[in-house]
Amino acid sequence: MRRQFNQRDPIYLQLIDYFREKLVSNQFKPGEELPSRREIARQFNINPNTVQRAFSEMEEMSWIYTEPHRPSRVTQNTELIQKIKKDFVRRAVETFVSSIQTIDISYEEVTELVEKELSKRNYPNGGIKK
Amino acid sequence: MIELIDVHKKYGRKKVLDGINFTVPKGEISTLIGVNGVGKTTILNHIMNLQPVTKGEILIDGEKHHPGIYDKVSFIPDAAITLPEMRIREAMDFMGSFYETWNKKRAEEMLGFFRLNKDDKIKTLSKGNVAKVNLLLGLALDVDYVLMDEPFSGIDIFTREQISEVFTSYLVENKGVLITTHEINEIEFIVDRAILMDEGKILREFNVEEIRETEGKSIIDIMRDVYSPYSDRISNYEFDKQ
Amino acid sequence: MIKFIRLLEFELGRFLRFLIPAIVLSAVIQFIALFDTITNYNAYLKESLESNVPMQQFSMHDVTGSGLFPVAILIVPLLFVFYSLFTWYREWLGKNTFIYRLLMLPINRMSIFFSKAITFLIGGLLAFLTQFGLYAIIFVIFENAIQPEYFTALNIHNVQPPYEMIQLTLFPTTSFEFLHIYGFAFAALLALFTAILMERSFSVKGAIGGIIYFIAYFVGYFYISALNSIDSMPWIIKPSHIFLMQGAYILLMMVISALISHLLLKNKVRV
Repeated sequence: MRRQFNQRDPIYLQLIDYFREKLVSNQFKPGEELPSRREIARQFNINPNTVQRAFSEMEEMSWIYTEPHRPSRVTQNTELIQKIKKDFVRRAVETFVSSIQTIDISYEEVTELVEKELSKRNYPNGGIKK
Repeated sequence: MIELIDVHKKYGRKKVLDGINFTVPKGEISTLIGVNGVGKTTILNHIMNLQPVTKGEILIDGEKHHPGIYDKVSFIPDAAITLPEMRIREAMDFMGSFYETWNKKRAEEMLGFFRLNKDDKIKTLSKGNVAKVNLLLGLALDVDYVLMDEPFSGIDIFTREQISEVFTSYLVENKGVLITTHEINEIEFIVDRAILMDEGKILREFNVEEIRETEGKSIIDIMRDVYSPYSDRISNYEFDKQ
Repeated sequence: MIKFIRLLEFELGRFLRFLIPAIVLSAVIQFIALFDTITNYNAYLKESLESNVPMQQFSMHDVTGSGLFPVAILIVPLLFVFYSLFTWYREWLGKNTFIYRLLMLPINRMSIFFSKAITFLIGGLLAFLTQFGLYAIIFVIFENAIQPEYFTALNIHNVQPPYEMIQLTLFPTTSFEFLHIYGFAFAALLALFTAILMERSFSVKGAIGGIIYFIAYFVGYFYISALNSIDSMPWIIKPSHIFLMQGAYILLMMVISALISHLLLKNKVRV
């Protein structure tokens, strides 16, 4: 499975996006060990320096931590993870809202549509529950 | 690092290199981009003292040329430099007997990685496999710098993928790598720095991620900017895959 | 030093692949000439016994005089001449440019020069000794094939000219001459190598310069050799002094060739 990166956005940011997605969807569990930088470079066919940069940024943001002589691990800080999830959803909501805000439709109809859509989908690792 | 300082090269009347200045730092992958004949191979040959410069200086870790340079820099040219009568095993032994930097273990690993048979005579190998042998012989040396001239030329797509993997692996980790290539798409995600050349001069040199961050442009976008006055000459590059 | 030996071993291996078949071929032809002569002798003997024609004497002269023999002797020297050019040009021409690898070896580049040169020395010694041995064997076989009363013992130099010249040159009678002749040849080889490197460094201009240099070597030598013959000279030089001057010239030219080649290999040669 090779994710397609685009050539115009910084690769390290695209990589962080990829990790963010994995994090918020619980595919990377708290405390889970991450593949090594080299493995990731090989997997995505990108420069290991880029992977290093992404890792450094994520360490800075405390998304991951690295103990000496051990592979990096996802943070165990569940509060932080919640925050990341919330930020992710917030941004999606912003995009959603700005794309419909010119439309003449009632608030109730919008929430009804949102609820309907949410209940339609089936997420293997839980997803959005009521 | 490898430094090229005001390098000029003349072939009779023709000026092939006209004041080239750049560096190849350790730990980064740089690529020299330019059409055929613009001087890329000449630059690599100069770094390895396989051709004399007309003017200018080349320093490797601050030193001028001496035989010990070949324990610091490895060159994989776009030419057949093995003896076709030799078996792969013999070529490897040859390397081992002259280079202290020869890493036998890594060479064996690469044989497996490239799926090559030690006992095959080099003259019986396909073009792609010869390219792999060249890579093996060049990369199994524990050197600080690796130069590659058109590593993807004339290679089928599956071999290309294998060769691409080399750049993301431990084989070039921490080394200063300089490659020349036309295949921009193959290297777009792999290189740290790009050096654009034309007519013996360097037109632009930049850090690839930085350009993405500040200008939102890919290597090919910058190439369009830089080479547009010569737009009839960029048909070599595979823009349609963008 | 070890690396030089390894390179020498490598070059020697490449040369032997040519030299050994050439020596074998030469030996085969020599034996053919030998048995041809013996057959001839037997025919003569038969005719002589049957028709009472007096029998002529046979000697090594007859073996070496047959047209085939000089041909056999010349095979190996011709190979040397061919290989003295081939050993360099093979690295650049053809599908494989091995010169890249040679120039990128972490050794002084003169190792390449000397490993090729010394290969010739070793190969030459091998060829010389083998031929010596062959002569001995041929001699013994021949002597035993001829009745003593018809056999004249002659050494390998008692042969018809111009073959005599070849024999005296390749197999000199004194060790002094041996050193001189083969030293001359070796210095000529180094001069040739230098000329080749000039061509490889400077193309056409280099080729012209190289040819001039190579010819100049011979001119210099023959000038010294002819010093006594020039009547206008105010001095008379003893032949032994000429000999010394020639020797010194040969050594000097070896050094000069090596120095020029060193500079070319280090700074000017191109793949």
